[in-house]
Amino acid sequence: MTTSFVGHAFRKDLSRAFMDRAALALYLGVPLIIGLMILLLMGGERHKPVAHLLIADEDNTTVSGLFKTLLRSEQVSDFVRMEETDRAAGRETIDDGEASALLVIPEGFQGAVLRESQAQLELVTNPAETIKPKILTVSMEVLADVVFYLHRILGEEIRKIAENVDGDEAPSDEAIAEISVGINQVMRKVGKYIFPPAIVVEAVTDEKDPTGGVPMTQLMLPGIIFMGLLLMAQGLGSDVWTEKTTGALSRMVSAPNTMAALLLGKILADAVLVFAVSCVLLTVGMLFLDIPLARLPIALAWTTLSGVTFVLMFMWIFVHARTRRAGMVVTNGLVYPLMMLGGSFFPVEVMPAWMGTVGRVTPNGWSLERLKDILIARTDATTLLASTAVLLTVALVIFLHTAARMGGPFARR
Amino acid sequence: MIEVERLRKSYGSFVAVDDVSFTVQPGKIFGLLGPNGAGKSTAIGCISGLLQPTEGRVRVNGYDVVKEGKAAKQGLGVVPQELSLYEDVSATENLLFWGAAYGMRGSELKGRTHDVLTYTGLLDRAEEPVKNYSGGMKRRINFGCAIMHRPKVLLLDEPTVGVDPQSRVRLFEMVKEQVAHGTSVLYTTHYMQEAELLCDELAIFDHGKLIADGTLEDLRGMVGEKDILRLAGNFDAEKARAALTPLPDVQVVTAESDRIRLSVADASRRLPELFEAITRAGGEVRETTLSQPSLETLFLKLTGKELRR
Repeated sequence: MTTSFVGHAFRKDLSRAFMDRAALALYLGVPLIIGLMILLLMGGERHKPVAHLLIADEDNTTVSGLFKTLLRSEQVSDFVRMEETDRAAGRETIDDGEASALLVIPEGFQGAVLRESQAQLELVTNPAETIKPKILTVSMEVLADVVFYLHRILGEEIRKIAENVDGDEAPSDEAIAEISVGINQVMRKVGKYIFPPAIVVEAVTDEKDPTGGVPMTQLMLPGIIFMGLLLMAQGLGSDVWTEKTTGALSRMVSAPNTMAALLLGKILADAVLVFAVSCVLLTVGMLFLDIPLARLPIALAWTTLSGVTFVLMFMWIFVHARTRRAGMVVTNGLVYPLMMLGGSFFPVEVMPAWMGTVGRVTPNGWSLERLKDILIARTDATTLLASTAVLLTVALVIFLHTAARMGGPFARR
Repeated sequence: MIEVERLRKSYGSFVAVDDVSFTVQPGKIFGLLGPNGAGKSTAIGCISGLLQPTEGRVRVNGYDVVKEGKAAKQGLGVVPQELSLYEDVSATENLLFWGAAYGMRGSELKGRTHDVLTYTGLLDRAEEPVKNYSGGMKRRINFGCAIMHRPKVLLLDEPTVGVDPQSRVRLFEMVKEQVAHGTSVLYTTHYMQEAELLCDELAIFDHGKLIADGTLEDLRGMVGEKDILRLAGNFDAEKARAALTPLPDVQVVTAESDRIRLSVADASRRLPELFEAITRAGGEVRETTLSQPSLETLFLKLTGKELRR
């Protein structure tokens, strides 16, 4: 085996692959389209939706300011991003589809809240969005409940505040002191129930949660990438039949260089293609799902090694098939069940237990789980090295057997 | 030089090549003639190392193709029957690939690629994908791939199938040029004219056996001075055979329905006598074709079959 020949075999196959633009488009296009469709099915939302709320404050009072402060609080800002505007500009933004909702706080809002009379907040939602406006609607309902219960507990004090706020003059020191004392007394009475609260809500993650708290879209990403890899592997694996039917393989048998050298060049060219397609799919997916790009190099190395092993697996099947058509029938019969079981259509986490168990031991399912661990950062170097050693061993065994077959019965038949 | 000694290749009970021996000397073209399925390609497969002989021995440039395969292959160039080319890539890339397959590298490989492109007349289209080439151009580059490493032995398995006349002539020239440099050429063909034009020595194959071999003159001598006469008309071939066989110096080669082929000395002079014999047998001759003694007549005489012209 000469490195020069391996290099020329590599160049030859790389040139041939890049000439086949339709196949390249298929390898990239199918996973991207299916990934997009899955995201649309999930509501078009990313894993952590943040609603963009526009507020037009026409009241401009202490209570409306308090209301806006609440929306800016750390707990709420996790899922609501607030921006102040006026009614007309806010409406225009909503019409342009550039915000989730517009909340108009009408004039007289403070008085209505303090006297517990009817106050009407106006919430205009963006019909193009589904989940985020719903979050805002529920948040408004919670705030209304807060006002109701404040009146039940501090009704007298709130009325006094309302009377003082209504006057033209600022409330006297005595009035403020009286209200403060009143509130203090009430809080002492109810404090033993709410500090700490008599009812403690303990948030417990259901141990049976199959996804382990990992967003579904992150679980789907490796599956979509492996779908592309399997499709590529089938296409690239079938190329040995093209070489056979042209007579190139039998001519190669008459040459002093080895079939292993030819196969090595071919596999290296395939590795470049797998790397390129994985690079696009992983980068797009990781950027979209906010997965740190620092994990990209390891993820890329793993998908390339996995993809090359799949190419060898399919090639092995093709060199044993009696005809190209027979090879296609067998590999078609494998690709789609492997995609299904291995987690390309649904993550193994949400499959029935038996199916998940089977899925995890399929070649693609096993590799896919390792990629998932890399992307979610729940693996360590030792595990990763052990997995790499397993994959390399499998690839080497298949490589040697395929090369022997190519130079023997497959070329001579 | 190729030495084939008592070569036998069988697949189970089917014997594809049966006890065949011949030698191709340096600077000579040795033709293998035979109908489809005669065993020519199997013999070539055994010589090129593609197939393992069941019995016998093949030596290429003194190396046993089974025991010293790598050394034997190093001096061997093969032009297969099918176009063994990568059609998606250019002629340059094909030549570089096949040159490297025979151990060439670096500047030697690049220089030789340029030379072969020039030699095959494809330099101006060297970077185009081979799929854009005509059939003749593809055949020329197929030949070019085989001579990249300057082999001392060339195996050409029906290299002119589907080739236009101009490319065929160029291919013949290229083969002769290789021979002029001392290369031994083993050439299989269906075309009698090609064999007569190119080959110094010939072997006729049928049913896996070598039924005749020698120089063109040797083989012509085997035919003798007899002409081949084809008669067709309104007669029963078997009755005509019975009527013609008793005549002196007349040999019936084939007799099928209303056609009969005869090997006859001085046939033009004896036509009236032959027509009369058929008339006496109740028939009538309507068509007559007379061929002078040639390789084709020998082939016909030995195998009872016609080759393509």
